[in-house]
Amino acid sequence: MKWNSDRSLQLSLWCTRLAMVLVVVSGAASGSIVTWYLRVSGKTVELHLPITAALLLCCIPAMGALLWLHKLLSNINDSRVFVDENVTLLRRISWCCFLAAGITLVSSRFYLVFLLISVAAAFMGLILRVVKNVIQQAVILRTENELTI
Amino acid sequence: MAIMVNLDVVMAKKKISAGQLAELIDITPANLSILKNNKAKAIRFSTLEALCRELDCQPGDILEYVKDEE
Repeated sequence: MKWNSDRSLQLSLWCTRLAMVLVVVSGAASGSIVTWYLRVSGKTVELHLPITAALLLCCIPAMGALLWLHKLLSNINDSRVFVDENVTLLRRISWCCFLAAGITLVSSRFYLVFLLISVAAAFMGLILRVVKNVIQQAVILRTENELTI
Repeated sequence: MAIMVNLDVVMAKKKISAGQLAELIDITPANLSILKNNKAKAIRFSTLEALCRELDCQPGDILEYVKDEE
């Protein structure tokens, strides 16, 4: 199969949709997932409530980020790359990452592994902010180029 | 805006329509409209040269510097 940017974009869209389904499933079955995890890892049952709460709370920014990511990919699919809407979408996604980082940071008080997830989410949010700033500059350059007669 | 484009004045003096001028200098009527309505961010020397050639004028006749009011 010949690989090209269009197919890569379609793959990203389908991966985003799959991730949305996984978030919904993990939110709906959070209790069972945490019970299974605690049993497998041999952790105490007292951790069930904080981990479940953290998982459920993280589903909110995760779903928001995935929905906006889907919108962003759809815009790119429609050849609308350097537009103000994409800058807003990237900003929102980065805030979702920071929100998830905050939730997991608080949760790390109960379960230290969350600290690693918090750092990873914050780092992801930071990278997205840099990408957002790059796209913002590209929008300005595109507008200037279009308005140069 | 500090730089004003007085293209409409020069066009009226030379009695030439926007469509005709756009065709003569090989730009789209939409781009000429952007230029005429002071919406442009910049003008290429090639466009300015073509405008001066077809309108038989100087760049100063088309562009004017207006001091911004404080």
